Amino acid sequence: MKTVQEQVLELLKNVLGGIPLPPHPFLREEVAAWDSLKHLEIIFVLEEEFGIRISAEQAADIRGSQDLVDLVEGSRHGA
Amino acid sequence: MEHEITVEGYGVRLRPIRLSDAAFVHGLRRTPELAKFIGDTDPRLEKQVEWLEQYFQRDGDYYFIVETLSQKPLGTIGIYNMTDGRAEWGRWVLLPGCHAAPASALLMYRVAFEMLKLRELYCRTVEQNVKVLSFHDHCGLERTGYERNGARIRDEWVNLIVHTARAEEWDKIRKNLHISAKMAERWLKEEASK
Repeated sequence: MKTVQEQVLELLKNVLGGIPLPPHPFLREEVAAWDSLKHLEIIFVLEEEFGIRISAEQAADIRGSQDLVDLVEGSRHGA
Repeated sequence: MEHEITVEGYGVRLRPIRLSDAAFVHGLRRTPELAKFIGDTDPRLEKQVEWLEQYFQRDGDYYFIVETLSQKPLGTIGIYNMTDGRAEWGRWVLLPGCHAAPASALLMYRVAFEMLKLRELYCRTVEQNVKVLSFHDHCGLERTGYERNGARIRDEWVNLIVHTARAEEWDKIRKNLHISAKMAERWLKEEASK
């Protein structure tokens, strides 16, 4: 079974068009394709995949791949 | 020019800019984290007022305020330099973190292709502004030009990348923007209800 981290990285790769990503953890600023349009799409797909709900404030705090993993794991534990 | 075009969708409205918006626009364009990628803005507010007064006299220039449905201003966007069904779009400056980028771009394309019936729309982005370049790429726009020393910002020449959208691509562009605009709409509604 895939870990949350593996699932998140796979999701990121899919949404960002399959481009090579830096080694995890990495920051948004390290990936040019992770723009504001894709950021919103990533959140949308993350909510769908994991059945969680992310607020605008939480989304604004996402600076990189580890924040996404933490957000999913935190939402699951808090559920 | 003093146009009367107002469009709304995805929790955002584009409405004609007014002289009373001068202070908002001036403050927005001088926001330090935004100013590095847009043309220089004179520190004097009266110069912004003068610029708007001249804009109102200029044909073929559509400047909008981007605002929430409860009329909170979020930024600006414009369509200008119109010639033979072709125009430039830009002056796209949004408050940091406001999530209105997809909706404002989508509404602007709607104005350009459905209301003004343009056949081609291009935009020019500073080469170093990689996130906005990526935004245009992901919308499905083609990179059609490169202007060496195309603009001067803070006393330095910068190179510009040109992206072009054609009327026949509008449906594809709309689809590429839709999911992100819907996501942002929910947040805009949540913020409005606080």
